[in-house]
Amino acid sequence: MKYAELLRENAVLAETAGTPLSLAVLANITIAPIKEVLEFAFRSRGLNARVTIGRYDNVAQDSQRLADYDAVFVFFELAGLSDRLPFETHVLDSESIGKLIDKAKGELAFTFEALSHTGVVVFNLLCSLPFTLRSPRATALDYICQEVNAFVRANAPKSFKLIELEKIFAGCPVREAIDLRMFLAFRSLYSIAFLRAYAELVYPLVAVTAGRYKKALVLDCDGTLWKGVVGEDGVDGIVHFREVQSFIVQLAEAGVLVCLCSKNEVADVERALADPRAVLREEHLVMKVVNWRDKAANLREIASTLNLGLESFVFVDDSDFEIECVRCSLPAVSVFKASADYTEYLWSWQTIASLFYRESDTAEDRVRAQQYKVALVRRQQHARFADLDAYLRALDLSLRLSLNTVSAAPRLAQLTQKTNQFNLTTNRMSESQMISAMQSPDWLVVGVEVSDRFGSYGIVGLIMARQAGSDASIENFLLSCRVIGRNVELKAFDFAVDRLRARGVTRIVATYRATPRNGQVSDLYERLGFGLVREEGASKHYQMDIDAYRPSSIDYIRVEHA
Amino acid sequence: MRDRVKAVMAAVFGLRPSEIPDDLALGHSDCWDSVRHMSLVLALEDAFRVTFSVEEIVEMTTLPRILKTLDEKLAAA
Repeated sequence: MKYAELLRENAVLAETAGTPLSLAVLANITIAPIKEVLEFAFRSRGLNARVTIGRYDNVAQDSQRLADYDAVFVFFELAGLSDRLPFETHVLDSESIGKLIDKAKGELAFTFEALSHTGVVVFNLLCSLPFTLRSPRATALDYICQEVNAFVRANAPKSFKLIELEKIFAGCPVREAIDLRMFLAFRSLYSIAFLRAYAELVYPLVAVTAGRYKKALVLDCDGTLWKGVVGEDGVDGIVHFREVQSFIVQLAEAGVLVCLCSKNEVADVERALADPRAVLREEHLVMKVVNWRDKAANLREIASTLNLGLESFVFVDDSDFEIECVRCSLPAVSVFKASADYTEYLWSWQTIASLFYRESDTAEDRVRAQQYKVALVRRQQHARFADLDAYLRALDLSLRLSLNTVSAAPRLAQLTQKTNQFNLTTNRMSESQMISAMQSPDWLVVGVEVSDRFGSYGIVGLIMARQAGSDASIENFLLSCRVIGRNVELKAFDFAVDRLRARGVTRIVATYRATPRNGQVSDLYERLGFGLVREEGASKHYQMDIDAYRPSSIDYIRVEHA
Repeated sequence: MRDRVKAVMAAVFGLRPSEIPDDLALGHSDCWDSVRHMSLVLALEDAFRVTFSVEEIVEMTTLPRILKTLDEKLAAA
């Protein structure tokens, strides 16, 4: 796509719905053209964003001014450290280089402090590569970068995302990435090609905090997991794509829900997975849908069984027909065609894997596949109990509630990022924001861990309230789709109300903010006894005197306080 | 040529081509400032498959001068 076309499209996409994410770019060089490039990377994926460019060489000053943006990108460049850099290094003696490094550290320390509570900070490590490409030994520029980067690694807040620009230069060669004309005329360093590659690399870091990442991977078998047709060639006649299967196993172990969707006989697929030469095995899979129905229908069934939206799915198949079928009937699903050229296909797995990017793998992620399998058994049991209450009683449910527990922060932040259905406010938070809330005396953060006779679901719910005097407002109330329908939210809310009362709260206010996905909880606050105060666009505002609250009468859920 | 250049300018400045006067110059309107000038140069290079030198970039600050520079470049090519 040509640059002018990108600019036009970007302007059109700005009109699309959704409150834009606020993104800021701070730089000690001229970086203005990144604005539209970065906006386009988000908008073209249906996520509106607005980019603000900080003032030229005002990184430290602007870090304070723009700290409450959703995400801040920092281009603290070697070439911006001094007017003499990167070319006139001969005039810098070791003393002035030392001063330059100290000055950079001072500015950075200030910037780190100012941005320590920002939702997402993407910080580019200094990189001398464009100017030392032909130098076989380390130069003064390399020395400066090493020193400053060591300081960054030691002192930047843990939540900062540090980016190695070498990853971009590897795909976009230096002579195409650096525009020296623009550097000489305007002190602008990077070409549009570089900026586009940069936007692609960093997009997932921000998108994940807006709940945009993939959770489930659905795979065809013949031509996708192995070469050959197992139904015709037999297990001995197929060749497993071991490298591809390794990618899949790593994703499964990181908590991605891996499913098969194949037109085959079940027994053939099972034999192929049991083959000692296979890397991917039965245990890595959550579901197998092996039949001769059309794949769009099968995908819909998988989505409903796993209780996930179709936008959480990635589908890989080697058949143009199946790819087109899914692309047309289920446009929300990301599809990848397995190339017949195996090396080409193997390269594409780096891209596929990047769609599942997550801030960190939590313990829950690692055992998720197992939990989903248990859930399927649970659902079969469910069918045996006609009366829901009797079923819930037989489940032997128990809750473990934690209060402001920092060790749970990564998981709780992740829940705010990925929960869409049972989510009253859809208030996404980063780990650092979650930790700040837990450490503040104004916040009550209740983590909800659920288990039943089949096993533990891990931490699957969250209630966050902010107290101001005798008022408290519920800022977050959510439950993972895996435990919906068990009334655990009622017990958890009882606990939150109890704690708020103990802290002197007399009135609770709450908001339901409608999204396309959370209709099922639109009347939750009414059911809890709140009174509707007013409706405002997609939001309903409620309040309740704490003395009017009636705790639930449920006696089949045990509650423990951690 | 003038219309094609105006179409690129319109995309960069967020205007309609009809809103761009024939004698538009850098600094005469809010939309064409030194920051946008960079984007304009890059978009023109991309659209016309040419590469400008530093001197040309610094000189081409009015629509007539852009047209003249482009004419020369495309004739030489």
